Amino acid sequence: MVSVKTIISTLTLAMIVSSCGPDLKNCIYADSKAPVFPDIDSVEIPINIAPLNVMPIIEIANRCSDVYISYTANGKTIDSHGEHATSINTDDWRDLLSDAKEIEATIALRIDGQWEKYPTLHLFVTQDPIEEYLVYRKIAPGYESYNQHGIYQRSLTTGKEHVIMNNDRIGFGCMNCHSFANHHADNMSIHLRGGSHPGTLMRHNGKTDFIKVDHEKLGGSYVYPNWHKDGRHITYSTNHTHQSFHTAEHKRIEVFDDYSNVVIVDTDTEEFITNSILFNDSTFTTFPNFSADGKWLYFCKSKTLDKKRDITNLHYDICRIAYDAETNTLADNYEVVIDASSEGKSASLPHCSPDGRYLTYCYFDYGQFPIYHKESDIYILDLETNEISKANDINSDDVESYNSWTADGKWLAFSTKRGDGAFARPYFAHFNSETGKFSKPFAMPIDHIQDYIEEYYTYNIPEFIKDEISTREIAF
Amino acid sequence: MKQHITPITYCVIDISLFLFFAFGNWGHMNYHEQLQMFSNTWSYIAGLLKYAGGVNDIFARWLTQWYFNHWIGSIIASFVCTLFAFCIAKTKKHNPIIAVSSALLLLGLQFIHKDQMMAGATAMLFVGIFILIENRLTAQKLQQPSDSIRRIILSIILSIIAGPYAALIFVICTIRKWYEIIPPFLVMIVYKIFVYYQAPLIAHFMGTEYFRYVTQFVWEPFGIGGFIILINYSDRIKWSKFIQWGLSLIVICYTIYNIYDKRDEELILKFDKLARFHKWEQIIELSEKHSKKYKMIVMYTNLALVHTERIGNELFKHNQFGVEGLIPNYDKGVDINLVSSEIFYHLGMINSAERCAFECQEAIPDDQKSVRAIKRLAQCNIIKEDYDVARRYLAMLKETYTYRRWALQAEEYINANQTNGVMEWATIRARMPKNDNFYTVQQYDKVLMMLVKEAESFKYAYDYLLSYVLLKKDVDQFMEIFRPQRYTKGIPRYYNEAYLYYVGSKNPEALNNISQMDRQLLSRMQEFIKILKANNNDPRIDNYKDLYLWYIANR
Repeated sequence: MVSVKTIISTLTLAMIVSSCGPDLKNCIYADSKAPVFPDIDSVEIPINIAPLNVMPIIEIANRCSDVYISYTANGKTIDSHGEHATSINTDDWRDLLSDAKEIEATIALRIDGQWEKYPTLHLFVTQDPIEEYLVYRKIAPGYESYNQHGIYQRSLTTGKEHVIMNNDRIGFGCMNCHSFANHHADNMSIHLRGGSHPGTLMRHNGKTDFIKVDHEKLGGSYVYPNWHKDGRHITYSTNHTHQSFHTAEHKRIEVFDDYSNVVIVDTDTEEFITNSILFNDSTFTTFPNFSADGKWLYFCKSKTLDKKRDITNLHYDICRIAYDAETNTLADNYEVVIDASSEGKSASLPHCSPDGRYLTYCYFDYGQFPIYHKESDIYILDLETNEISKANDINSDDVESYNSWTADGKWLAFSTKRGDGAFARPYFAHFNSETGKFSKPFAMPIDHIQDYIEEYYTYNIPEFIKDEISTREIAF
Repeated sequence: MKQHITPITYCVIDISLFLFFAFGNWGHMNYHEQLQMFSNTWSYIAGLLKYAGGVNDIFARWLTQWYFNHWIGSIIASFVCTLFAFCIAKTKKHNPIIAVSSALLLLGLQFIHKDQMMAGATAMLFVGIFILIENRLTAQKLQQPSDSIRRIILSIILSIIAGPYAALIFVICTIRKWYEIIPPFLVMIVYKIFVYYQAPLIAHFMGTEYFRYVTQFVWEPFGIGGFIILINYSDRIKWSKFIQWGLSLIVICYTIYNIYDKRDEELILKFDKLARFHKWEQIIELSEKHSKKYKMIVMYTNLALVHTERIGNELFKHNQFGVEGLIPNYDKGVDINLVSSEIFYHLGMINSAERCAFECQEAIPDDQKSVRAIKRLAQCNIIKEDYDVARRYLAMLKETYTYRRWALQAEEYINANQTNGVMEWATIRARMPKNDNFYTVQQYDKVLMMLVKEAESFKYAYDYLLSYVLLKKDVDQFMEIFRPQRYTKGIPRYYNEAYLYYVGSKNPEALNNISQMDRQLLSRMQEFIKILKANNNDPRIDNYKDLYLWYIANR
């Protein structure tokens, strides 16, 4: 007769064994790549990145009852499995990455009750760490109306997210266009529209307040920002933005301006300066961006809309104008850096690399708002050689849009809709400044990866920052 | 007999409320069900628990999803009201008048207005239940834990379940020591500081959702709370019977008034439900019974007339709002985008249908997702063959009880590459515009013209376009588009009238050459013109309200 003690011990042992991992002895070996999201094959990851978890792609999620991953490097192996997604232990992951140059990943999925194991994937670890936090806005990918949304920060080393500001704090107004000076939170700008606190919120040297805006002189509000490296000057565009819609194309919206100009604001005096190149009625200027050394202001420029208001005729070039921060003066002339209009195309969202050598931008058919253009790709201009190349390593069949650099210029974050064509996600790619090439990008790791499917949000304007922002610090 | 009065009272209350909800309030049920999406995911549940009172929100939303079937919804709603009545009336020995007024209180203040939420009703129900529990425990004279500690614990639990405001009502009804009032406020502060700093303090105080417009002040929760407190204390003050009767009478009268006052709102919601489930004939019947001039009703009626191919014959027999009653201009509201999405969907203007469904969703003031909008988004993307996007929406619907099956079936069609096998999708896909153009929300006639040019046989768009120009009173444009030879079985009455009017106004002699001449109609038109010319204030003019000419002259 079997004693109760024996039964209990056996059951306990069985539970322990079953929790150790799936039994893959009878699994089928598949030839194809593992059908998981995100794609982690051949990606280059920073040494301090949060664990990369995976889940089955949406097409097979119904049929998949278990997903398993193991990472191996230098004889060490860590693994995880779960019903809907994996959940790698952060400490184990850090330990694995600490001395790894290459990691092998083995993925298995239990589909229709049968385990299937896929070819081993390889990840490469670079010693260049990535910035600690990424700040972005999460909002439903809508049209004119918006509901609850907010600006969030995610720790890229743990995958955990915290809200910086949610719009229920401002009576459900709109918040957008966050920008940080030198990747630090002590100088930042956020634009708030509607709700209980409309205006441009400025956190300057640790103090938070609304900046004075001369709406009459400006003809609008401060919209798209970018800080000068001195942390005192900030450039804005001021835009009147509209939407138009397609009848047949698989494009949801066209966003266009019928008025846009660029100014530079001195945060000490709250006055702005501009000139007739940046501020006039016969051209549109927008998306200003300072160079790393602060001596140039890059911006997008196009002719105004024709009488027919044909948006397909709106082609933006990227230009630059010299700027002296000490005297707060702009030059009288400007240069065209990317002449997209002569090719019947548009270039937008210029961002200078921190070493001042490169300029990344989006290149697409027309207009200035690439997120709704599937054909939009990221290009890179070598400012030393004037060579332009399409960043083929990071582009996809779908839109690549807003991009930003880490402070050391080793990593680029960009928004892409490559997952499903509707919801933008941040991806990261390592940059080799000597070759001017990017590594294969990977999706931002998050602590609860199912949120990428369950959440109804698109991620806008990914910006790296070094320090955590406490929501209580932004008191107004 | 006396011992049966109590159960009979509650049965009568419950059955009466059930009948009211089932036959009088079913539009309301549908409206609430479609403007939420109860999702069996941790992120959905966790999102609600960031407020004290989140538990009640989860409970109420879980109940609301069953409004999908309005019979079940009626059972739920009537049960909540009756149970609340039981809890309140029991404290007064099941006084029947208090029972009736309590049930009507909850009905009148949390179920009649379309933006009053089930969570408000269930929060008050929890208050009633906790008061019952406390009274019972007090009656049993339990020694452990001490009375005060017990009440504090109960108020903390109630704060977490239904919100600090609900707990405050409980505390006021049961308080013995002054410090027993502190816990609800403490819970409010703890949630504000440690759980969800973003929300204002008042949101944490109310906790659960009483009204869909969360930033708007509403008095109803305080009305219910005041009633509970007054009834609770009515025995201890002078003229208690008078107070009880007086309060009850006020509640009964207010509820009846509120039901009467909101009858038009309920009517519009009924139209919405019928349109959602494509009950076109019933819409027209309802419109004929209730000739109310509300834009939403006019839009639904016109939609039904097009679907039943009766628009040409009946357009101006119903109240019209100009072109806005056919295809509305863009508006950021929930309701207008719901109906707009229906119109564009059936026209094959899928990008527009998708936009309206999205705007509807984003306009929902309490940040809920709408199952109807999500389903429409899934349908639009299936029709456009954007299957990756469609799968996202289907994944969301699969997390619900009531739409999971539909979502799984839709996914099977996608996986098998057989979406054309679903007649609705195939039909609408065939209607989609072939050529791309830009348009703004003021250019619907341009889009309709394009649809008709691409497919002259597309009767739906053709009827819409003709109706659009007639409503715009642009008879010249009507004549450019109108093809009388299409109608082999007789020209629809209003197209005929416009045609006759145009020909008659240009060249009366040419009327004799019209092959499909309706002499009776022409004669009536001529009478109307004669009366109008003689005296445009002639009361006889209103006898011709069914004429298109009347519309031109008066609208």
